[in-house]
Amino acid sequence: MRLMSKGLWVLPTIYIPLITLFAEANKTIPSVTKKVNVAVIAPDFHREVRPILESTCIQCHGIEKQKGGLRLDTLANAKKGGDSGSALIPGNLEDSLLLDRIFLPADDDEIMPPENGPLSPAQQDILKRWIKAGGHWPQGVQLFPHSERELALRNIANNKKLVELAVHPAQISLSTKEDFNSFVIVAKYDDDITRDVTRESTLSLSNNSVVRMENNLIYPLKDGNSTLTVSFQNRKIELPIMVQDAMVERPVSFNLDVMPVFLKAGCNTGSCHGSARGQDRFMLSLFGYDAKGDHFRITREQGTRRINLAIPEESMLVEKAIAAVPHTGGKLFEKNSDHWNTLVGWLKRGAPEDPKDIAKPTNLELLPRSLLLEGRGARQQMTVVAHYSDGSTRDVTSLSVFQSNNDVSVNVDKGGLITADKRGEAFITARFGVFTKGTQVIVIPEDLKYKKPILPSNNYIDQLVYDKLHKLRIYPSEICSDEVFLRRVYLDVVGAVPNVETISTFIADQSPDKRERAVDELLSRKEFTEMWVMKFAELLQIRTDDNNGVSYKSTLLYFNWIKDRIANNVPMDQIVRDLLTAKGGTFVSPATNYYQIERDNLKITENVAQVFMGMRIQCAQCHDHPFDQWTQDDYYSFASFFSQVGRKQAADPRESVIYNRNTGEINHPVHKKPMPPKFLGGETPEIKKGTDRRQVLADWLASPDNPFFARNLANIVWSHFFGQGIIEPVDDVRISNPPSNPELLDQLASRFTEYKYDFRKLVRDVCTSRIYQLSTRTNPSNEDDLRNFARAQLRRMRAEVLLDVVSQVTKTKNKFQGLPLGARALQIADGRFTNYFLTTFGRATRETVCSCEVVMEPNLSQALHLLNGDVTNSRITQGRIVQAMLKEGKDPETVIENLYLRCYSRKPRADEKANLLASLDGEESLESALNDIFWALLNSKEFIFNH
Amino acid sequence: MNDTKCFELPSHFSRREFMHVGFIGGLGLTLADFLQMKAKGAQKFYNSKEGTAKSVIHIYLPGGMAHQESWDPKPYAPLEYRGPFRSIPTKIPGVHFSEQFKESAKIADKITVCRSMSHGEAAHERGTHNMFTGYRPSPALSYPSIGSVVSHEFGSRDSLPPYVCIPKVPNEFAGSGYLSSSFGPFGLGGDPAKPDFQVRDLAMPKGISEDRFSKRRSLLNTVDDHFRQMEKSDALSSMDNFYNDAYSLISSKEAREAFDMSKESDKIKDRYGKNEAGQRMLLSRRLVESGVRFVSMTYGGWDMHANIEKGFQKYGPNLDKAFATLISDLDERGLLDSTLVMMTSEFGRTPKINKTNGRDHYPRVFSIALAGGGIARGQVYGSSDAFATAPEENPLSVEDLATTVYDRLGIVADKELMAPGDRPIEIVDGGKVVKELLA
Repeated sequence: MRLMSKGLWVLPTIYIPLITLFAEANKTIPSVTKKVNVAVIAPDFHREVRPILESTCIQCHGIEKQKGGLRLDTLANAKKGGDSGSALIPGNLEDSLLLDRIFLPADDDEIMPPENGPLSPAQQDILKRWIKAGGHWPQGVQLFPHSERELALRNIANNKKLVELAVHPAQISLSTKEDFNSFVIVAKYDDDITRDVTRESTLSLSNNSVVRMENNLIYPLKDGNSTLTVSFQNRKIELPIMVQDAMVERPVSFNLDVMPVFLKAGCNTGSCHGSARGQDRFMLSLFGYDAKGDHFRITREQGTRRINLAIPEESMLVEKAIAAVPHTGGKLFEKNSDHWNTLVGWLKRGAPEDPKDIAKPTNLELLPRSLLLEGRGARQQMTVVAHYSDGSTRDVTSLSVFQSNNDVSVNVDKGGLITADKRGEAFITARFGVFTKGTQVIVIPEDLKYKKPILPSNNYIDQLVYDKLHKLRIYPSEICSDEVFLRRVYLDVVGAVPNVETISTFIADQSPDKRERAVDELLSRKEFTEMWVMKFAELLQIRTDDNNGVSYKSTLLYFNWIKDRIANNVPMDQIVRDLLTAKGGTFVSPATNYYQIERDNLKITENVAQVFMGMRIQCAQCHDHPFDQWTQDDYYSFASFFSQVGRKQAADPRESVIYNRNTGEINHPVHKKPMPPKFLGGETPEIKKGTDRRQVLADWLASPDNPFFARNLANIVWSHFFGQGIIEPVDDVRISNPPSNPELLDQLASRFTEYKYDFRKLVRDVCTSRIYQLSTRTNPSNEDDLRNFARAQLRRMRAEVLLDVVSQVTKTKNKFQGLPLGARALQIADGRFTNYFLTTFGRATRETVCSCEVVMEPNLSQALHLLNGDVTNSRITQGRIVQAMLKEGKDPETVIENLYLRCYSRKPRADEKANLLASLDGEESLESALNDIFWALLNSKEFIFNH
Repeated sequence: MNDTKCFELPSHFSRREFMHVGFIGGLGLTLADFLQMKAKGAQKFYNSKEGTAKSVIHIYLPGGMAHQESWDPKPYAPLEYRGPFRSIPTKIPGVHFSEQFKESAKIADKITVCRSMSHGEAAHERGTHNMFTGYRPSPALSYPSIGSVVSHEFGSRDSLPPYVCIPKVPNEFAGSGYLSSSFGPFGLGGDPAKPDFQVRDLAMPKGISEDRFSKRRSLLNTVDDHFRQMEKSDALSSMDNFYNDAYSLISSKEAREAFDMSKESDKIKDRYGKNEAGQRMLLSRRLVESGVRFVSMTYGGWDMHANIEKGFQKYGPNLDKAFATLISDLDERGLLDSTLVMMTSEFGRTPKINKTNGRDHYPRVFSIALAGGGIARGQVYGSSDAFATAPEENPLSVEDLATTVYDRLGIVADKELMAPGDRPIEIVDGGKVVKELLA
């Protein structure tokens, strides 16, 4: 039945928008139908005339179709008219054919518009008055077809305050005859909504002889400069345009033109010819990482089978692509299309290879950045500009591959036109060559009831989170209670719950800064160190390994090495430098275990990228990374930093010595030559012979020069306190996995750098922010949001913490191999050590550096273990908490209160207390009945989850 | 589970057609029917009804088992393609397996071997994702494993968890993906090949009577109540569901005994082989016999980049013996027709032996084996070319395989499940039931 009633609500909501739409349309049209011949009030072109023309005429008489030879999209075109004569003669009601056609009887074959006509009397009147008053058509305005929906959205926007007008790119430089560049114009309103107003703006060129403009494309005519002036509503901006070599023809180039076609048409993807062994016996390098190889395979691998220089159009390469001959991949483009012309043009030149010094793309820009679209159907054209090594730029919008990571909210078509759909957030990427760039697009419905809230903030974190929430039109949750805060911050910072006395003192404390003081106190504890030593032990894979000769002694020394450093607040950059440059015996100089635990230098390369930069570059070992910017060249140049790591046996057979061999290279698998060491995403440093390459790397890696270092650590810190990173997972940073709040992550990273990589300071910022202290309780606007920190998320305690907390509240002691009785699970040095509890609750084995090693999902084994296992049952009896309290003469009510404070850090509510006391009635043994309550608390979700 | 009464749609209706207004009259639906469909959020919906396969045993061979050394030998290829082993005839006239699979050769008349499995993912984790979910990995969405979908569609049977992994959850793709983690697998946490094997915590703790246990349960309800009302999250409701599963498992002796290997005779243990392959398959049989719907087990390490001969000799014979025994044993017990057994791997291996006498990753063509649960007996489906480099006949896609398995289970793979953000996602996108595989 519930489903039925929900269904009944669905139908009406479909119609409401339509009805309101009509109502609004009527509102905007003044009711002057009867007063035609009195004084003429000139209608406003943009507000009244334009919507009628755009929604009813331009579809057939515009840039796309020209029925009857007529275009009505510009003043000149309208005046020129079509086959039957001029459509618009300003001031002349009799001879303007436009009026003639719209006033014909409804059944006349010539009536306009032919469908959904005739126009309403109000619309007819507007056009009539407009022409009579002189047919004012603002200069430079071209009209494009728009749906009713688009016009409705435009109407909404026109009632807002425009705060910013921007044109992208900010300047255009054209060189060579074939060059061209598109531009888009974006309006931003006072509610942060952005709109593409390219087609609504008035455009004028300062110098028509230098360039010509067609739609939103600029083409060169002759060398010189021109300026495009863009006006929209009350704002005006200028786009400088420079042209050089306008007369020079640029021959079709294999690298610059043909290779991009392979990418755009999808020829070289992994599922087609880009597969490691090609497709149907023809292979292209994946996404075009090997242009030289591709040229060989096309022109010479099978003699001249694939190309026909005598009749280029009949080359197999061309005929397959247009499916003139059978092609497994089907038809990729049309004969005579741009792509076809590129291939044939290149073949006509004799299919040459490019000169060695041909320009290479060095950067890619996807514009505009960061969009907030309002209403389903809202659109935004993107533009993509490639920068080349010779300093030139090029519009590669039509050659880029666009993708949306969430097509429920945002669609992007082949030409880079974005269309908003359901409320949500998407990341749009454009790929060209080895570059992928992305931008965040948020979609909100146009009829949201939302008012920007005024919210208190404790520090920069709060404001940056609020900013994003505002864009999403989400309200954050309330701040959590003192009890909840204290339990949360204890669990997160020191992996324990506050004891009963601490809770009462904290609650009683009236000072406004008590939460901050609590954070400061916890940060100074040794348990804080232990928590992070454990986390670093996961990243550094600290575990004994008989195959790699990592003895327990090494493991322990290594674990203590990192512990000493974190305890003494050694800055993170220093720790990482010491690790990466470690040399000497694995006992004497424990940091060297970094090179002993993993002895494959390629694997070390990958681990360094994943752990210290958050990037998975594994794919690039064999080919350019399919989802990221990393090329095989990048991979092997980065690996070269580790090619001279030497390992030898020490005097003690359990010990190894790590040293710098000063020699040794790793060969690139394609050309079999070593690559010079180059920072990942950075420069190629000069390295003098005899220098330890790792030193050069470490000096860069753990420094502000490496933009990923601070960001990565900041993200790891963030994810510890929120259950997920701003980039999630934390070790999968790539363009196609963007941060949910890039401004926040950047700010955390820059603070961390300012703090000289003292991460206690960063933790303090996080824990004292209001965002960290938000309640888990949702409000209607944030209940579905999981990625923007609008509320606290429930997080199950991780395995080690849960076990430690169980022993803390039951007053029992853990026994782990090699550690004294009563040690905490956090203190276990060896990843290989485990017990059933820790494994079941997902402790990391540290076999890999992957953050996925720590498993947080609930499962059946966990439920069984808490219900039936010794961890609850025997510990309750061993700890004798209840027994002791009864012995002291405490009454059951006090005992229950104590158990609640112990487990939940709060007192029982009145109803809870009453129910539990009632359950004691008629019990033979008060002690075992109270122990059962204790058991129930340990099994409850309020206990198991950090909330 | 999905017992809401709803009519079935013919499988060819797409969501768009479903929405078409004229369609109401056309099918003779009442407005109430239409509204009920609308209420399903315009999802493609089909009721799942137990099909010919009541259970599935998925034997997964992590690392990528070479097809040349197992189901698809190339005896006439040059040595560097042929590899180290000879081929032997099987129960199916004219069909040869590798000599490593001599026991399976004897039961070839009971199974279907597919020699034309093909996909495009040459990295372990991506190939594994394909075989466990029926989807290519996506950067935006994490898909549920087949076992989790089965769990979602049918729920538990005979107090047993619907989806069990032996010996543990093998990889991150065996989980529940975008579905609630309630549908995640039960990993045993122990290897049945170990003599002291037992699944822990199935029985109530010593000294706790049934009465006291049920009193504890009601206390747990009392202390949980407030939190449950105030907080909502998937992790919470999953935990609740697992507690309920645990209660029914604990209270059913039969269900608990399904995990008890000591109930099997030494003779049958020997028949399967007293090793990881044999004992895991024996336990798999025990579990489906007792009511588990989907058992996923792994065996061996098949990533044989170097010295494939030695590598295969280490794992091949145990696997072969256990697999052949499993098929025969199921058949003897009359369970084969209702139990679908599938043996897969993330990919096959390169046609040519490499410099280190191994083979590298190769997803373009490889072999899998299927049996029982409404799969045809005694056939080879599809083929690879002479050097095992590409499918020659009837390439079998990941989507088609998954769709066919779902079909046998009684699940229409075109059905849409709801992913976060009210996003309906097909169980399998665009697969078809491969009729030739069916009995």
